[in-house]
Amino acid sequence: MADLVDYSGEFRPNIKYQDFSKEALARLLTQYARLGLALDGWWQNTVMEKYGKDEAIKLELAVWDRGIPYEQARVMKALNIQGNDVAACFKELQMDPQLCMEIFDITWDLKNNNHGILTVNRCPAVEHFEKQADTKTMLAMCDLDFRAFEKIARFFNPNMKVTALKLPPRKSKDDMACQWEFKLEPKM
Amino acid sequence: MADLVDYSGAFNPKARYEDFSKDTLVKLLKEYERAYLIVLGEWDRVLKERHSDTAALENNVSMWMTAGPLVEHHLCRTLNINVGNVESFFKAIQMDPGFPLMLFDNEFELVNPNYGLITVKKCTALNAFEREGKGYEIPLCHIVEPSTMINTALYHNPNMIFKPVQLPPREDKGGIACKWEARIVPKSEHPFPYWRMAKRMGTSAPNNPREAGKPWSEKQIQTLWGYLSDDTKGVMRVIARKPEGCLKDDIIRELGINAEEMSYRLGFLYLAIFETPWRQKWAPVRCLVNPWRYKMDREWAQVIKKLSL
Repeated sequence: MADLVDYSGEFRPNIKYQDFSKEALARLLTQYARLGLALDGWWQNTVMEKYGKDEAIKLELAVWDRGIPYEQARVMKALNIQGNDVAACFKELQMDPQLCMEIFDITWDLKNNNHGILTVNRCPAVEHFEKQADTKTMLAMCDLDFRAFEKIARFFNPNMKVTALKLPPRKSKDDMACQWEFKLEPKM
Repeated sequence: MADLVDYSGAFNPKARYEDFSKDTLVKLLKEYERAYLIVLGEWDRVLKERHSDTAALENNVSMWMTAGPLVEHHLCRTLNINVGNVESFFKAIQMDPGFPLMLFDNEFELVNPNYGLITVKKCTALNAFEREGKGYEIPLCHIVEPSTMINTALYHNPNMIFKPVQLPPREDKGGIACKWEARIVPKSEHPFPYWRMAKRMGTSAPNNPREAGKPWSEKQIQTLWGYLSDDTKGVMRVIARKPEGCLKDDIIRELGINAEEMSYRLGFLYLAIFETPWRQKWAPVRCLVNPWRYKMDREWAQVIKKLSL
């Protein structure tokens, strides 16, 4: 049977992902990543409505404190990503649903296997908080990203160092959202 | 270029999902589903730890009142699912990352495009709650699920009814987890004719974020009451007579209904709250367990009695 390019046809009670074409699966991957990010935002909004901004930020930090290394390990296993250098770390980040390539506009500059620069040219979260004029939550979320990147880097290699080269707030809408350097430091 | 079966090779700064084989994309989709569920589970955990089980449940309902229709909207757009009936609702549920086939064993019986049944034969969440033994499945399956699933179904058709046929707790651990019926009815027969797509598609904050901490006023209670059907009002009146803790068995005995019908009727309470300008307010009725009972806000019980609502 031919691969489904979408699900506009008849209902299939036992449908499986394998029934879809590669292109449809790629679209679904992007959508799942987008929904995962949106879900986090909806939770944050709900909690903000009930308890206020400060508590929403605290809870957001607590949510991501535990989930981060778990996700990386699963994606690495699914894609057989091996190694403990910056190249391996970048491969995982490219495929991580939290940094979905179709949602964020990212430039990956791998200078060598132990050194790379990641530039987020467009970030929907930064755009959202700019629109809401909510700099406080935006900076808290960028700080959360910083901690997350550090955690991910250490997950790959305890000697991997992450430096934020540029962070919001932006001076203009044409500016990049943020830029990060990942570097494997020689063992002291 | 041949499809990549994994990403063990060289780093590609321009990598795209389409570079990988179909089997690899399926594997990755399952991980993305898992990541989605982790976000869900972690918020629930953090709310329970920092606040309470009740707070986690209440926030779950509030969050899904916004998120449910939006998730359907994005899934249907991605897969070109033509929205409008029970068939489109079933298709979207099949593809929902929050309801993945790897964790649930679901049976879909679409009798015709406007009528169908879903049986969840295996539910990993229910299995976990049963093992835990605290009865968390009662408020989750009787408060969170009916209200949020009714809301999600309405995205497909504002005249759809999505009703629980069988819900936990179950006596036989090998039995089904739950069963639901979906049907399209004439507008005049729908218990909640107020649902508006435009309102559900927005994610803006409510007018006054400080409302959440305030008790319900008499005027607010009357406004919300106006959105409730006679069936929902009937359940509320019974609870109002014993607001400190009305037993589930007393409610169903007095009304001559089963627990599923009671939970279905109460589910509309949350949809009604979303229609008011104070959607961030806490629901006036809370489900408690051991024994299974309902507690109502004092202000609500007093107003229902005072005004003979």
